Amino acid sequence: MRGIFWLLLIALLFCGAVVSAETFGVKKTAPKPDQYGNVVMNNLSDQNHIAPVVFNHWLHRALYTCRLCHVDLGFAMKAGGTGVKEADNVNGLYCGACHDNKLAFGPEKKNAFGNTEKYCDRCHSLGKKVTFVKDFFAFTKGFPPARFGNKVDWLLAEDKGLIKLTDQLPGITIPRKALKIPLDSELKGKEAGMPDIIFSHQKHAVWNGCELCHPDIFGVTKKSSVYSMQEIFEGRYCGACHGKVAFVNLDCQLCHTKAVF
Amino acid sequence: MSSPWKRWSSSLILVATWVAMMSAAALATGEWREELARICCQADVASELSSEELTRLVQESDTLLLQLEKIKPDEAKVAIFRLKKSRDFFQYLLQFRAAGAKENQPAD
Ligand code: HEC
Ligand code: HEC
Ligand code: HEC
Ligand code: HEC
Ligand code: HEC
Ligand code: HEC
Repeated sequence: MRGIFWLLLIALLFCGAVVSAETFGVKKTAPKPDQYGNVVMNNLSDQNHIAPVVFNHWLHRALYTCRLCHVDLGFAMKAGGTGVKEADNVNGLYCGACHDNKLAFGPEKKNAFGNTEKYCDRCHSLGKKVTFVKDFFAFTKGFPPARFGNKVDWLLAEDKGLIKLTDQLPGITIPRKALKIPLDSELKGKEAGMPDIIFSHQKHAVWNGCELCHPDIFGVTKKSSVYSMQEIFEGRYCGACHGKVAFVNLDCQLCHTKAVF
Repeated sequence: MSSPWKRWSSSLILVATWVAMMSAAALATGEWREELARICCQADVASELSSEELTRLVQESDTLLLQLEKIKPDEAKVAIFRLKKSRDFFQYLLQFRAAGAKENQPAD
């Protein structure tokens, strides 16, 4: 029994490394902390002879809740899934909801001399040498550490007030009501001796909003005991976020109350 | 079913039709954003709504979706994405309650 468990664990660790490397899509090895959660958007860029877009989660998630982008602004939770066009940005949708020269830099702007300055390559940056305003290591200096992913404990960073998340953009996103959150549903381990799962509706709902998880990620038919760790490593259920943007699934004891091994 | 129930449900249908007509009228003047906001913000409190209220929200969402699909996609696609998320969540809660009722469990 123990032997099987160890085999499973090794297999899981292996799958985990492959999965996280794949979601990154650029490198074969597990991503570096400043690259964890980076998404390459290339539905149209290459074919229009412009460098593909690299979107970083580490900076944006330090400023905004997940649901602001993935519920209100309409970004899919799948690389390339949204189908952003440059015209959309100019019309104030998607990236353009913020990158409008007011909240953040826009595609171009007139400088004091009346000349047009372009900021295309800050977004269209794949394979280019671009000097960014925000540097990952400077930005996250002094943030509470974590073992994997961005190597930042984002939750603790929020609790300590090091980051403050914006949940609404007045005039752009719809005004929300105060969230009513159901009592935590306890997820029980399905194997004998398998420690119970820690899952907090409270925490998750504040960042994600109910609509992001139900029913797309957790539908009615899928009760807690139906999914397996394998499926999570494959990017389903908890793995829709954990292992891609939220903390990595190799940190077993963050979800399993007692040490799993 | 008793007749008060029938009377009650037909007035519900009347109200739903009225709301649908109002939303269509609102749309004509380009005010679909208001209707979108009214429906979507209910998702935040949806777990405390009655099944009747949830059913009505699903119907209203479907009415608005039909209207939004007639607008230029470049203008309405985020609104459609947004509305579908709320609509499907209302539906999820309804289905969850129905499943709970079948198992004779409280649908907390
Ligand atoms: C805030 C980020 C951002 C900035 C700034 C930006 N773009 Fe884009 N752009 C995108 C995204 C995202 C896409 C979709 C990428 C994809 O899937 O290939 C895109 C797509 C494109 C495309 C593909 C064809 C099309 O019509 O969608 C072109 C061409 C393009 N951008 C040109 C530009 C130019 C020129 C500039 C500077 C004047 C610019 N972009 C600035 C984010 C940006
Ligand atoms: C500022 C907007 C923004 C915020 C905030 C944001 N995301 Fe994203 N997210 C995006 C964009 C843009 C994409 C890429 C979509 C595309 O390529 O069409 C994306 C993609 C993803 C993906 C798919 C990645 C992949 O490799 O397939 C996941 C998972 C994800 N986000 C989770 C999250 C989580 C969890 C949070 C909160 C901690 C979050 N996002 C916060 C904009 C955002
Ligand atoms: C909810 C608002 C919001 C959305 C949506 C958003 N951004 Fe940003 N983004 C910001 C803010 C705020 C900053 C930091 C402001 C600054 O430094 O100008 C930023 C910074 C960036 C930077 C870092 C630039 C640097 O030099 O450090 C990049 C690159 C970027 N965004 C790309 C994107 C792309 C690509 C998209 C769409 C796929 C997007 N953003 C969507 C708000 C947003
Ligand atoms: C991060 C994802 C996530 C978010 C966000 C989320 N839930 Fe859940 N929810 C779950 C999981 C996981 C379960 C456990 C049952 C399952 O596997 O479907 C669950 C179960 C439920 C159930 C069934 C109750 C039970 O005991 O099984 C209801 C009702 C529910 N959630 C409502 C909500 C509401 C209302 C919100 C917003 C306030 C919300 N959820 C936000 C993941 C989420
Ligand atoms: C929609 C995205 C999403 C899904 C799905 C999701 N999570 Fe999370 N979870 C997050 C984010 C974002 C955080 C914040 C920490 C981080 O980003 O590393 C988090 C944090 C946590 C934490 C730390 C909470 C705390 O209070 O310390 C636990 C434990 C956790 N998740 C377990 C789970 C489990 C178990 C599931 C599946 C039943 C799940 N999560 C599904 C996005 C998600
Ligand atoms: C993001 C949260 C999360 C993390 C991180 C996580 N697990 Fe799980 N794990 C779950 C959930 C949820 C289940 C399903 C619970 C159930 O239905 O019994 C589960 C189930 C399991 C099971 C029993 C079901 C099966 O697939 O055989 C094992 C064994 C397991 N996990 C091992 C691990 C190990 C080893 C690690 C670290 C490499 C790990 N888990 C990390 C959330 C997590």
